[in-house]
Amino acid sequence: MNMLHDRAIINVEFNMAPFSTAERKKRRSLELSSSIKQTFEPVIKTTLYPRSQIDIYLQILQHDGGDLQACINAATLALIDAGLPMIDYVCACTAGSIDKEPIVDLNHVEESSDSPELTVAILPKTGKVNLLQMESRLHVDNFESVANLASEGCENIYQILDQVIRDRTKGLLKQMKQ
Amino acid sequence: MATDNADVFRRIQPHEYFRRFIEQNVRPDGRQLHKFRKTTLNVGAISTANGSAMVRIGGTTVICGIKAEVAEPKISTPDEGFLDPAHVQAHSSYATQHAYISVPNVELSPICSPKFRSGPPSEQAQVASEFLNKIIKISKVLSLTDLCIEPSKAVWVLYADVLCLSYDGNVLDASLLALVSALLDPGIMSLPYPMANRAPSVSNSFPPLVQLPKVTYSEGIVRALADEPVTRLTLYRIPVSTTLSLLAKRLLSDPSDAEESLADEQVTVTIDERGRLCHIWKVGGGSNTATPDVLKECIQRARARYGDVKGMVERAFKERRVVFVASVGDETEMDT
Repeated sequence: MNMLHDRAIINVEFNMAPFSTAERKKRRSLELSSSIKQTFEPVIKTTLYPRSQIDIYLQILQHDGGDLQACINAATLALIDAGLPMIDYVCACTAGSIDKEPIVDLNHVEESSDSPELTVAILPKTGKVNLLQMESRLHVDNFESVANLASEGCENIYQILDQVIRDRTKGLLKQMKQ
Repeated sequence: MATDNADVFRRIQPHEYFRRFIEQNVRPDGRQLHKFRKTTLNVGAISTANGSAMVRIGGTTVICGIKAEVAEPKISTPDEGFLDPAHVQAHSSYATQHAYISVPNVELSPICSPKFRSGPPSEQAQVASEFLNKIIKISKVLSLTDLCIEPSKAVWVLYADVLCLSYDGNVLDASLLALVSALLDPGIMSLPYPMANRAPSVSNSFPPLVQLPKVTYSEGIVRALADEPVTRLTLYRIPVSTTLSLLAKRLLSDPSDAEESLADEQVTVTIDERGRLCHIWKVGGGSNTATPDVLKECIQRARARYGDVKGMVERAFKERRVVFVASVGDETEMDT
């Protein structure tokens, strides 16, 4: 087993259940795992856990577009639930454009069309972009509007994630006090 | 302080720890020896699958998804469809006399418990897959000829995948219940239908099942007819299993993970809707622990469990909504 003397190793495994897609196929994507690992490495405070490994397992049960963004958001929540210190949330969102009209959060049908798909993950407090991935073609003139739309989407996701965490923590505190 | 001591005791002397509880006819989680943990059934949650079901027994959660595809039948059985494992492709252009090992696929991955590693299926996963396969095949739960579209040319293949989301023992009961419930799931394209006039031996309280689109076959192409009513499969038997562990000479129903790892022997009894024995499986232990009386007791408990589960499944299917949950707790008294 690999081990680093001064920090934790992050291991990400991504799996798609065979019944999750319209045509059945079992997919384990290494590329997606690797992107997620690189996304979280600078965010989790790995120096607090030398000679250890943090495993992140992602399982898709039902697929309708936006794998990477769903995985990143889920991983953020799971890491917070696990109590691992991070410098900020990581919120991800996809955007594309159909007929020059920017659209946010593409589903499977939209992904399969000729729309480009841009996935952006940002750290909401600073607005810094942690991950940016794009597939298909997008004209550089349209890029800014699509990227801005994705960032806006990330902001909205951040509000939701934060609210969920706060509600849950309040619930836990209440239970602890009883 | 007291809880720390108990925790330490549990770790260094697990057998002794459990024995002290069991001798008082109770288990560390407060259950009596014959009680099951709270069971929850949730059907139709996955809209991308033809049929799906999620079962929770205590801390063990499994989800089963069924997908139907068209394939060429095996040469040896030209008018039968099949349940297939993850990777088999049926190419009947290659005459093969060997039957494929058609197995519902059970996946036990690190996401459900740290005791599993990622990679090829572990021994336990393979054993669970084979268990499900045996029950479905040998008990003739499905009639494979129902899956035929056009003999020798096209048949339905049902891919069943069972995924364990959290593991706390007794994955066999949960998987079988999930698989059977997923096969019973009306699917998202529920259409009103007349009751099947083929007389199955199943009581009419279980409604028709995985709905496959009506298809025609001509010139090597299978076409789905959107306007025609869907084809229905029939489950000829509804098996439900009960797993018991023998620990400190006592029978524990529905063992948790801790109890499973300490148990000397394990028995799994599968009963169908008429109280007939589908399958019995006993592993481990020396010859002095499980006497015929013990096995009789196992079968009795399995019968009682069947009653509970049947009530739950019936309640779950009474409402014609796509997603429903029914739960059976451990308040039911065992009838001796």
